[in-house]
Amino acid sequence: MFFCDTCGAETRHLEDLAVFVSQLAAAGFPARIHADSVPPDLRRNLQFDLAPYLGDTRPEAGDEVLLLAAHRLSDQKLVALRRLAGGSVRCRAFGTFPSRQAAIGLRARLSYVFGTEPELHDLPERDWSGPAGAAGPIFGTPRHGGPAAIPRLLLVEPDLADPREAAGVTALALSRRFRVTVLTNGRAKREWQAAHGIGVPVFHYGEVLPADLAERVDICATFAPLLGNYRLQCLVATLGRSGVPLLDATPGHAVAAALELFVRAPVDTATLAPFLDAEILPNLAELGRRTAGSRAAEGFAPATAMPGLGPPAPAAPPPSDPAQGRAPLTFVPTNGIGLGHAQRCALVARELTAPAPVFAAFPSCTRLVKSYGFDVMPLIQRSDFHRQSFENDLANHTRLRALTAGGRTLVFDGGYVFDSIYRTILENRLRGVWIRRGLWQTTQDNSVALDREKVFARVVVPLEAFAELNTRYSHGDHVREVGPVVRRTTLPAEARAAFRASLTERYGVRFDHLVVTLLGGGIAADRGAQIQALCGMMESRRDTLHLVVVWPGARQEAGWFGWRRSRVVRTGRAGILLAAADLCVAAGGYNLFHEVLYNRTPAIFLPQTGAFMDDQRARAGAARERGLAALVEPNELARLERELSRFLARGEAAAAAARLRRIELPEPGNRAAARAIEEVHDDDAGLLDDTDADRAASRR
Amino acid sequence: MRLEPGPDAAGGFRLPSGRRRRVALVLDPRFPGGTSSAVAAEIRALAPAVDLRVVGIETAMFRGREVNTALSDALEGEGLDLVWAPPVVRADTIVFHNPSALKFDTALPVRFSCASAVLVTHENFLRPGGGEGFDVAHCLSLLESRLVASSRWLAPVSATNRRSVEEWLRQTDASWALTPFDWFNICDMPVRPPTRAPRDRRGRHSRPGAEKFPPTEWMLRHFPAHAERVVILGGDGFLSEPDDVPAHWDLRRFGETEVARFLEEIDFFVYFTHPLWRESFGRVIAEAIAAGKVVLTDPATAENFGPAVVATGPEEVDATIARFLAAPAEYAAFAARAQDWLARFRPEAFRAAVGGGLSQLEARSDVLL
Repeated sequence: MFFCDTCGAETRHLEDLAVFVSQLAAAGFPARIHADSVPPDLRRNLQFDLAPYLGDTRPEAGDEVLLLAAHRLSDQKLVALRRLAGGSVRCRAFGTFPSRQAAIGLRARLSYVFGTEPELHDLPERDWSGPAGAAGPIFGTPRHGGPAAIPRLLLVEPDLADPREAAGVTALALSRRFRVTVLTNGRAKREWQAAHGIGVPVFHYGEVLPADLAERVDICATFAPLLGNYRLQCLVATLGRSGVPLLDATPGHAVAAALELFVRAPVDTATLAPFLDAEILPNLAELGRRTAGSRAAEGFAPATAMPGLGPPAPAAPPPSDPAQGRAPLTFVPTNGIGLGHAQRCALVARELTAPAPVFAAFPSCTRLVKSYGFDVMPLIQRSDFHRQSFENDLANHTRLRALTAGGRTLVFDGGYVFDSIYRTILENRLRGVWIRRGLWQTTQDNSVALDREKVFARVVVPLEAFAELNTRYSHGDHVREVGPVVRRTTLPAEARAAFRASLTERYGVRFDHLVVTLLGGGIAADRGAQIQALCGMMESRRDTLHLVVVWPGARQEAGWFGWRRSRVVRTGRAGILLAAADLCVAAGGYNLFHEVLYNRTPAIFLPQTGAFMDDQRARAGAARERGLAALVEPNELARLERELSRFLARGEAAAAAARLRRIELPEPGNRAAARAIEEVHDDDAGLLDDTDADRAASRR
Repeated sequence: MRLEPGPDAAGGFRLPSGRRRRVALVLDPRFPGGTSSAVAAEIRALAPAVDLRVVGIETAMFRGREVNTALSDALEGEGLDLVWAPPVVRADTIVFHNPSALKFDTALPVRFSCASAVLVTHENFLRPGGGEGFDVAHCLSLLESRLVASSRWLAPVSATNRRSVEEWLRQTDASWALTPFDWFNICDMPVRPPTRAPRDRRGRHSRPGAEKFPPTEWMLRHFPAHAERVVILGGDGFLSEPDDVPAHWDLRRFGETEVARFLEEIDFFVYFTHPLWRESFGRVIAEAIAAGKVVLTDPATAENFGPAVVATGPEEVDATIARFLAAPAEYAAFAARAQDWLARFRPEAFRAAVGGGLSQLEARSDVLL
């Protein structure tokens, strides 16, 4: 095991450490960082970079400590290293040593810590790596995937602030001859997306590690020097080793002058396209061979950059499901207000023909997922007790990485693409599928989620039943729209009557009208008062049984109990209750809304209106306009009572049910969604990698 | 081969013409450790016998520090001025103390002219295991570039230091010869009678550098919880990670307690350095012996002190202390014998050894010339 550490105390040194350890791991070396070596409160991206490699075991005999920025060794760090090493441990230190004395002094100090004479590596001050030398050994890692049918072009730091360059990037992105991705710094990305939207996939340095980005590049053109940018240097090394043509688009072509790997290219994006067409694309294979075979590429071999490190561990064969003969497929529903995401995933997973998926889900959803017959690994729920808002996601990241290692496809259902999802797809080289229902509120800022769409091979959009509710948030062949994903419960008349009779027996309440209230778990908004009011309103209706359905784990209030006509039912299987009900009181989330529609159950909607939620009011409004349901604002309790009377006493429930039976609804999309996932999962040729070639540049 | 001092020590301090020898001591007087104390004693020993000048050079190693008070007191006591970096230093003999202080410098502003140049090698040139202690060649070449001398000598401070310098000379083609005598540290600290009722009070004193401390597991074994008292002066490194340290250790920063007072608090001085580093002499050991303490140290470090210390392995420290505690008379006798042995480092012994030695150097340099 290689324990990696840095003697630098600044954030940039830890970023270099993250790059180094990830490169080692990608090259097949078992690499770790002791948790004590990482200070708290680092930037979020850096925490995610480091998290998979953190551990609390200390080096043992046979292990080795690899130190970066060794020339920055301080007394404080010496103490920390002494604590890390404990006993006698081999150490290899990388740094820049301006004098022989500096090296002798460092060697002595390290020997007192590690109990053995360390091996010092004075990093060469290559003219392309900057006057301060490289931050660590620059080496490339093997790529797992081959080139795409439509070459993927990475532009490194084009001058996005220059209108001409910006126009050039946009024009390049519209080309069907290659697929463009931009790599730049965080500020340039923010400013670009504020001005141009997210049509062009843009990574900033901190959001992707070199080995992961290299998997998505077939041509790389750099507009920036490589000086002092260890991340970029390692990316170049990996691309060079993999035979990816490297173009120097810097003024003066200083990079190409120093590094034979690079081909001189036009220094502006406007003339880059014809150059690519004329010079690069026709010679792509030959250029790749020359690049991979160059002396510079050989210098980027781990054995050359770090002599004596030994061979990497042999790669483990990817695990696969022997029963199915296929690599695993994993569903990850987010934890929404209710169980909608988990239920949608389960409904789709049930329609898969061959892959036996596994699930990773939050505790509130595990019972539901298991009820569909799928294995589920629990994720960690966000908590106010966590020190950071994303603390749970850090742990989920490591769990998901472990669960999906060697897998092929990750299907995510949720509105916000967590770092854990985004990074697991990138780091485990997975094919990502995003099940993304729409109807976002106009005030919502989903730019982060949409920006992360770039790592998904496919977006499956379950449509709303009513056309006016469907808005396209992104375009391209990779977006697949399917009918509403909905759970339908078929309950023939006799069975329905028998079930209602069983309810009478179970609850000791005779009734003509069955009202089922499903107003959520009280997470998005407290609906305790509304439920309490509904219970009160039902009390005078001697012909009604009122069932208040709460999800397992949802909050319940004492005031809901003790009513003669109302009962609290805790279940994850509300479908049969809905099918048996005469009226449903619901919030208007996607799943329940469509379940009500497709089961032809009249409803009164009290929409949830949290800023982070879908536009439930619009959804309920569309149903009201069609005479299929009522819409009551949560604060309109008097109106709620009037609507109840209208539906139960004045025949509106029956009339709405009749209208529901007549209305034509789109074909449910459960099966189509499953097919869309299988296409990605089963695409052995990787052809689907190219289907997003024409992702439009107009997404905002 | 190490030669014994000549019979006429005083003769070495006078030239054949009868003129008192002009001796210049060159050093960076800001060194905080035992070297400055040794040179201070040397000033007091040499000043009556020779025409002495003390020249200060500013090295990068001690930039920003004050002149060591032991040195300034000695200079004041002998009525000497510290001459800071004159353009040229001329003398019959120029003695350079602690060449390792030049390891971070790239230039030396002073020129030196003398008949014989003696470089006192206060730091070992090589560490156990063979690694260089510092960039010796760089420091020597820096001096060589500014030095005109008929002969150039490296003067070790002890037997172990001599072996380290000898081995380095064997590996290089340096143009310096080894003095036939040791330029040992003068130990003129006050001698205190040993206690007749020793208790299990243990301690150690050193600068806080990592090289001065053995691996932590040794420290834990040397200073166990059953010891009545543990005082570690110079334990700055442990203070920065207090959670790693046993609660019964009384840790003090280097210089926090006067050494004499610290030694009053213990009966056993347990001194092990890191196995990959070695004391060239071990002045802290001499201080402990003078204070009447029994010293336990590793066999290699013990070599400089012969029977005056208990040479032991890290595993046997506890048992050795137990034996002394069971035989208080033996404790007192051992400590008293050690103090007698330490007398060989008194100033008068130094004058005899160095005085005789210097005359031999000139005889040899004549041969060389």
